[in-house]
Amino acid sequence: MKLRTLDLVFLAGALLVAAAMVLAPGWIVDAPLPMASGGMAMAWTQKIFYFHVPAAWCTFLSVFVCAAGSVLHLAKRSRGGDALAVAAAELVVVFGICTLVTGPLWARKEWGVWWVWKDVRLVTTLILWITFIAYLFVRRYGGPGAERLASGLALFGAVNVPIVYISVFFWRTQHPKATVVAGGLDPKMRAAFWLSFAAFTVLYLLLLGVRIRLERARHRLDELHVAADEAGLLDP
Amino acid sequence: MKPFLAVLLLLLGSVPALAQVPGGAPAAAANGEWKDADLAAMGEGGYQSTTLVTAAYSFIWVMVLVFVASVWLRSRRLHQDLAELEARIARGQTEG
Repeated sequence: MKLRTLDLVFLAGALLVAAAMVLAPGWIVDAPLPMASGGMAMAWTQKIFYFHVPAAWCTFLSVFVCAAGSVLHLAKRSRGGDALAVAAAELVVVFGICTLVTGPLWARKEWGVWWVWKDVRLVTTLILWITFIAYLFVRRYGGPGAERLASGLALFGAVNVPIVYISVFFWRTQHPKATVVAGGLDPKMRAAFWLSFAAFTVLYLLLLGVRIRLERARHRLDELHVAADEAGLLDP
Repeated sequence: MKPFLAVLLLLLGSVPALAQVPGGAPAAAANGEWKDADLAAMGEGGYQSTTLVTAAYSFIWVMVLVFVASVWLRSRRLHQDLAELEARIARGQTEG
């Protein structure tokens, strides 16, 4: 079996993710629990934070990657941009559902409810996820020109991301304000969090790479089919 | 690409098993490094924190594995389509 450089990069990435995922649970368990507003330590469900936040980060990152690919496709008709956009859109759906499921599992313990419909952060995140479900439906069933329509949806999704992020600062929400960027984490929590964050990011890039390769292979197959048909090489 | 997807799938699939910290949570509790604030809730029939954390962690891995499996299946189908196209081209060349 001949190994290409790209394959080796993929393999190294997979090993890194595996190593990080072996280390991370130990660090996560060791990390202290922060204090809740009542002065008591938060419930052990706070550990969900270490994969809920990185999953949300991967969702947002993927939205921007999808939007960048869509802009490339709209501006230059780039097939590479289109492959990037569709690969990223699928990952928005994957990491988005992870965010939307892990959040309520944590909320059930901390807030006593699974979901709060009046919470702007929760609802805008759900809208973001549904936007990318719509993106994939448009791509699948939209017929000719669906790529361009889907690209517009991706840009709409990208506009929604800053709204999701700042929603906790502008509206009174059940969802807590972000503390990671502000540096409000205990040092032990910080180490566990950033390890998990890095592992998720590498995992995201790996999955994106694998999915892009599939899409490019599909493009090549389509081109080959058209070329063979035009050259009259296909049997009737 | 197939062998690497298989390796990736294997690695990712083995991670939750490898990542188990034997007795991790009780040991940490015994050392007094954290306080389980929801013991009372457990007694009241609430959801156990460990169940919720395990559910969240497992869900993420299930989703990743489903995605990898879906890419692998689509890749296999693509290779079949390619083989079929090559066969059609070969037949077309022979007949032409």
